[in-house]
Amino acid sequence: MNWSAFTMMWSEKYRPTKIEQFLGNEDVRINILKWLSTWTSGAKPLLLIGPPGIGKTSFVTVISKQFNYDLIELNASDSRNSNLLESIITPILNNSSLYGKRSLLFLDEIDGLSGRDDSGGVDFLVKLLKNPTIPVIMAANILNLKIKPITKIARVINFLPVSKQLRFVFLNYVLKQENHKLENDDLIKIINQSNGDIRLLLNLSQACILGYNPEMDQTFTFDIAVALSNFFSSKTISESLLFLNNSEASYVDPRFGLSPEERRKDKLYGIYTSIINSNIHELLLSDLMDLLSKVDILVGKVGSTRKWSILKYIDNILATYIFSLIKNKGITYNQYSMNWSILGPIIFRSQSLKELFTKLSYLSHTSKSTFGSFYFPYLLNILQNFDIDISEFLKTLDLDEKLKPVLEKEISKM
Amino acid sequence: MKSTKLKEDESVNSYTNLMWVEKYRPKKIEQIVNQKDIIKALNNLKKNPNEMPHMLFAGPAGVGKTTTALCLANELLGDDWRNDTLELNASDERGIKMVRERVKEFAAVIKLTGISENNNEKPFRIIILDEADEMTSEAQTALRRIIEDSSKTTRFIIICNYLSQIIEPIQSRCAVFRFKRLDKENIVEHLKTICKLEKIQFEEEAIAQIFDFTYGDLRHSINVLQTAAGMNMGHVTKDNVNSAIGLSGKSKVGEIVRLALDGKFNDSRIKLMELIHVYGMSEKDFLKYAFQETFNKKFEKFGELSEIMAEYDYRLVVGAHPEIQLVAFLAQLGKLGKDERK
Repeated sequence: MNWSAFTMMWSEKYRPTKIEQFLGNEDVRINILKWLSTWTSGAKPLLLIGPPGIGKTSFVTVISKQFNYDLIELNASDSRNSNLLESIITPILNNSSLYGKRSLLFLDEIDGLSGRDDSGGVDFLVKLLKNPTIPVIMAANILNLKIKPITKIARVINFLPVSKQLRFVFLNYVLKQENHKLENDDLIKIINQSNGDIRLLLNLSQACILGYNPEMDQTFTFDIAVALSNFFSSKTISESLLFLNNSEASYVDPRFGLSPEERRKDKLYGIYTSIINSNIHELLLSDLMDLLSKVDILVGKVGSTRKWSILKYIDNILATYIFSLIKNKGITYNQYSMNWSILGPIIFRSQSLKELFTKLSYLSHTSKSTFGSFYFPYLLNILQNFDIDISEFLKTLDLDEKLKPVLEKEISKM
Repeated sequence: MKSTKLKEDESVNSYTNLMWVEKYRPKKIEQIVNQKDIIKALNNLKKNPNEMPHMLFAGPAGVGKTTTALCLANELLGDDWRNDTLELNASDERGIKMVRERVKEFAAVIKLTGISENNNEKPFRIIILDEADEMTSEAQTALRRIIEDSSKTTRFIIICNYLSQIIEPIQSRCAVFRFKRLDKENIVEHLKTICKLEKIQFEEEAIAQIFDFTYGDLRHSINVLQTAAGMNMGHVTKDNVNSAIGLSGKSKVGEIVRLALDGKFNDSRIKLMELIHVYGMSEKDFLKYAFQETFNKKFEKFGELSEIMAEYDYRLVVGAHPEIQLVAFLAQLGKLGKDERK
């Protein structure tokens, strides 16, 4: 066993020492910084609520240093009955500076105040912290009944668990720094077990490298961008399948209407847009597209028959057939089916012309598709060659003058 | 609503005055080009409107199906016929839900005004359902119920290209009228009449060429005529007709197929996206025109091409992502063209 791995615990080695090193909860941290930088006497204390290991304590430590405050920290390991609290806190509040520096009072783990030993602790805090003369921050894992009274005099700020994606990125960073590798399924287990807790994440992965294998207990999902990037760069079919299985995406039928977010999380479309943008040989491309088209038929059938149970086969089909064809072809994830500099203007033109198409296809007693094919190109030409005043033309249709440059552009494209 | 409509018709710049295809759209059934049997039958039906059945108009594009339906509605319902006529296009209103809602809404109004009980009033309202062969058979089955439920107050005129794609139960509920493809004389004569009225000069051959390109589609022919006339100070020449034809969506589909066969996959894909998004061409129409263009322009390997088109026509219907299906189609064309390019 390589004991040198323990020369320093990763959870200590990678504890943030600067504001910019923290992971996740950006909005929350900005709020705390704003609160501290604009703090005036009498301002409400903060109550930070959040699960362990996401950096509450570290963050308070770091900002007090960076803002040049003298940090006075009391935590659950200190006995905290009302007498003791009073004897410690009162002098601090009265002498706003001990060493000539400003002080910041940090009461950590206040949900750990025990009913008996810390008798009267919460009521005392509420009374004492009504008009604080120095900045006060409290922290707790959960907002339980016992500390509820504190919310009356404090501003509650909720920390969220660090997301799985962010933990994944961070863990990969640490592993790279440490020059270690973990198998993908171990990686997933660790991320899964750490449950938002960065400290636990680091401890678990260090243990894993030393040979301890964590158990899998929950399913873990990657964002579609992460999942598909890894799908394409996987080394084996089973690895590629793992990323498909654990992606935060699904097989959907766009014919039933999708929101932009649902569209982004469309697994089949994501694979299509990535493949179509890559530089692969045209024969391989036609084989791949044929496969995707066949898979799409399956998706279509599921959609129209509502036999969702069929969906479970699709990951396997894609991993077995598509992956084995694209392995090592350098395909990367791409959200759009073509370069946005080309697709963007197409979408823009389509949006701008929508209302005009609706009105004119109605006036022509025909479908939009027929109008677009057999009227619109001719109309553009006629507008130009018959010297029609486009503003006047739009006015007769009750359409906005804004369409004029759009139409003129279409005419110039002819 | 009415005031804007008046404004449209009065203004020289309005769409309906500008486009000859609208300007010369027949207003009376009598004016319909060369569908004599149908005109005769409809005139007989008109004498006893209360006995009018639901109707099914079948026939190729641009021969006057929709126009006949509009004329009939006008002649049966009088000047404000538009208020009592609902035009639906199955190609736009995808899904039966939309059709059901629109029809229900339309039929509900009639119950409130109680038109059917007053003999002096109009006997019914008319629903024109265009491009009904675009509907799936499930949607058509649902439509059958809608026709039955609203038949006391409403007459349906269902329009399609292919009668075979309309389910039997709907066919049996309607009087079927088959519209004939227009022949060369009809089209040429009609185009010349328009030229005379618009004081346009033309080359005899140019007019004949319009027919050759548009295969008896009068609507398309008139648009080509007007575009060609605009290109050269009111003189329709063969060259102008040629360039006008190149503008149509169908020609663009031909170009895309050609690009794909030539191995220019990305160019063909970009043009496809433009055609579908900007010009609003439906994916189904894309394949339909691809078939017509490759046939009419005598593309090489027409047998293999047809096989691929048939396969993707099917996949387009059952698949979920039309874009994936059509791009896969282009990729297969590239593969087919590759043997040729060697």
